[in-house]
Amino acid sequence: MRYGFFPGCSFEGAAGYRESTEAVCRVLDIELAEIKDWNCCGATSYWSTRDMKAYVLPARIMALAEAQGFSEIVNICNACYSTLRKADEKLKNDGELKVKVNLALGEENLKYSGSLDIRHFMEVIVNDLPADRLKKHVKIDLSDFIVAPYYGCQLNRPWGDMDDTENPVLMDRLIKRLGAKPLENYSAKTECCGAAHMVAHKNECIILNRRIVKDAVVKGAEVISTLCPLCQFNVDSSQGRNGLPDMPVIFFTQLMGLAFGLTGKKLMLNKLLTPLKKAV
Amino acid sequence: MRESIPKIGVYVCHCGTNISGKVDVDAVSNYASNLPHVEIARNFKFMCSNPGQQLVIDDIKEKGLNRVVVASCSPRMHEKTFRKACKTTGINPYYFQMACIREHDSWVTEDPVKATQKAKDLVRGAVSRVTHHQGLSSRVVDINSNVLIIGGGIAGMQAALDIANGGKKVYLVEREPSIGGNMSKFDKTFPTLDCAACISTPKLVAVGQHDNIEMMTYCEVVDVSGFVGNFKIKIKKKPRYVDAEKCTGCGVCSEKCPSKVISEFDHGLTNRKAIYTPFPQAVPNTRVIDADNCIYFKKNRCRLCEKFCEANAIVFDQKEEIIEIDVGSIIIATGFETFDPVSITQYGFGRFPEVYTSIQFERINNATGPTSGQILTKNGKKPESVAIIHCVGSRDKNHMKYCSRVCCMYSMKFAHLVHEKTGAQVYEFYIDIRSPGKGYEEFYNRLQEEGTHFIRGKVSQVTDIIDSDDDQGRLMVVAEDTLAGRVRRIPVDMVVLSVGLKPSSGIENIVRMVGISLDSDGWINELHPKLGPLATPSDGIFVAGCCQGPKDIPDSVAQGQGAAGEALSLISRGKLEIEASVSIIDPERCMGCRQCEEVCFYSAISFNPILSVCEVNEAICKGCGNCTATCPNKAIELKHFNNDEIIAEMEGLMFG
Repeated sequence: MRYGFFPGCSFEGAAGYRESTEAVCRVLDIELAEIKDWNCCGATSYWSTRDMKAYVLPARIMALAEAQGFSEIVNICNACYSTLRKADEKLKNDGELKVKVNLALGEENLKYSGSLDIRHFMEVIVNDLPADRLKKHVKIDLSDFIVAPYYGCQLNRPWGDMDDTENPVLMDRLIKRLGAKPLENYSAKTECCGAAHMVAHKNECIILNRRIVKDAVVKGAEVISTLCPLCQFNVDSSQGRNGLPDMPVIFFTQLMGLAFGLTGKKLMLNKLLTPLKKAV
Repeated sequence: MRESIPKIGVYVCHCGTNISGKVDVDAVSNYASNLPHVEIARNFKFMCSNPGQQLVIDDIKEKGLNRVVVASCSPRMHEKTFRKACKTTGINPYYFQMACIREHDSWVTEDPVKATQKAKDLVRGAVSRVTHHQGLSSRVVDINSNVLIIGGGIAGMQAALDIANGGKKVYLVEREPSIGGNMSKFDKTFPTLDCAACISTPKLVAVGQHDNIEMMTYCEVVDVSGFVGNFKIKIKKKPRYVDAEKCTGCGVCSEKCPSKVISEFDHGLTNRKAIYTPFPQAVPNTRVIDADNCIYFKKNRCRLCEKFCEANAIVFDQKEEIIEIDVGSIIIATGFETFDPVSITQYGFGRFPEVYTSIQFERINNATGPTSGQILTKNGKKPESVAIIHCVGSRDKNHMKYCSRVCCMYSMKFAHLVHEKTGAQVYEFYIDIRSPGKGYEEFYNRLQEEGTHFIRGKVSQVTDIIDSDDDQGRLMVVAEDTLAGRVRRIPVDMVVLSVGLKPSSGIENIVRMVGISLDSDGWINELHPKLGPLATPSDGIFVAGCCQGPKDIPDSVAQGQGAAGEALSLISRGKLEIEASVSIIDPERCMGCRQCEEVCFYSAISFNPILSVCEVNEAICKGCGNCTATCPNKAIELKHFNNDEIIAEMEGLMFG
């Protein structure tokens, strides 16, 4: 299985996201083929300026993917996923803008035509892989490992076509397939982590992240599983002074790696700010 | 009977300045006087007035006119007026044609020159058409004085009482085992805080005891045929498995019954038994067995009710019956049901135990409800704070875009009850406060003085994510306080969702049976939103109460009385004249393909298997022309809109 892959700017620096994703892909025999010469998507901050360049950035990524023969772009970041989808939707509906954007892309002989599917890697794992193919690789018993599935706010809103906007279940399903227990009544599933505001409005964001952690703590989770580098960073780094017990925040690919029996070292669990202490 | 030479009088109305302000009426009447067969053409300030009509009448008499054209407003306004004027002079009213030069011309055309030309064209079209008119006669039908009322809630009961008191017979059909409707579920009613049961029970009893009302409960209408004054109704009487004549309502059977079922009347808050009445003051007080949940019907065991019934009223082999009745008019009063907020997942209904809908909260407050009227959480404690969220499902383009009209008032009523019964803090989250009725604004003031916290802002979520450990077990209501400019997170013990109103389930079947329609929100379409709120485009079918649109109890009662008035008015006329513009099928040309039957909205066409042709029931036919246009063999003529008339009008309009 081969997919066009857009890593985004945070893939490299995130706490073991790249290492765990690559490891898991090797086990499952999935090829995430990086789009050559990709650029930053602009994410939420740049997109919100409504500047012409803010549209060109994501359009260029999609144009490159098209030119390189891909029919889908797989993301591992909520903001990248959301921005690409927003750009795709906007360009599909605004003919004039599309012409202007293609004029800019034309400088590099690129063209955006809107023929791609924009996807998130978690959804690819759950929907494209038959359940038993995943279960075949599960070597470790995680049956009493309670995992709080944290989706973040941008994955399913506003579209709600991949999963429910308020109570998504795809990652819950993945956790079950790995033999672990998803926290069934986790209310903070889609609460916002503050994203880039963590930098400029740290105090307000710490309050937001505290809720995400507190709900997991109160309801008995042992770890939070997430699917976005910024979510992981915010929830992970905001702990420590919030008066709550430590709640490690790992990527879903690291959870998969743990289930597959890969070592913590291989999954770069040592990069986590809030350490995962559970002996797995 | 057709006159051999048409002699047409043309009258162009100024309509004050509505027409003459844009159209040069002199030019139009002059132009008309030169058209073929036009004997006389005049213009006048107000044709619909007495002097205006007198002009027409005098000209008919003096000049021997046999056709009249009036160029003025829409036929919907005054066609009847002028037809009547013609009739008084002895010429057939269908020899009249109106040219609409107001709604179709002066009111919608900017340029006076164009408007005048258009008026000339329209008059020319009417003159051309009217020469082909045939003299038609209206049919007259008798009116049966019985009335069918579908729905035994407050509107239906009120209508029934008024008609019955007027000496006419009423069949009141209600699908639940008891009459009373939604009002029987309430505790107090706004703004007077009258006890709902106290004011409605006398009505229930009066209905049950009235000689002229035949109360048919646990029944449903399954077929309606016929036409105004002459409806034939089939009613399905569902088996109660209890003999109504023998049952004393003692209730021992319900006490002994081992089978528990979730109570519909309590909206899921408690259980009832398989043999039950919905509430203690039910009318009739006859028990009913819910066969789907009865152990005898499911497993052929038990029969405890039969064993303990001292009146021997249990009849397990009772059968469904179809009862046929004849009525002259029908009043639909099927009421409302509340919006189910489970689809608004952010509010946690169905997920958090202490989130209730307003109708559930009514049951909690009602003395016959699950907590005997006390406001308690499911752990049996009084709440210290309660949130009431307005507009759940209403004013929401994702669900119901309209305002449900009663929720602000009942929400404030709840606030009062919470204060009174528990002393808890009440937080009302609203978008606007709508309190238009008598005493309603004063009620709002009272609630403010009672210390209710009114927070203007839509609630974004009800969540169990708490910030402080003190709030363990409570719910957080997150809302934007738009007046303070802040986001609020308020911990509460109980949340009441003020859900909106929607039409009762099954209303689509009722309207299909009687041949009327629903609007885009599912409420019944009334004849005219301002001037005809209780009638429908189908003669003899009236509406009352919430089925026409959400409203409070005073308005439902008023509409019930109004619909009774409509029905009684119809009955006292004794006879009804039916429009002569109907379809007629030529049996020589009809080949029995039945396509006309398929396209008739009013079910006015039926197939005659003996002659192998289709036939139109002229009494039901509305003259819409659908069949006429559909017939592949041109076997159908629509009277007053036949091919000659239409083509003549078209030619008149186009060729000047």
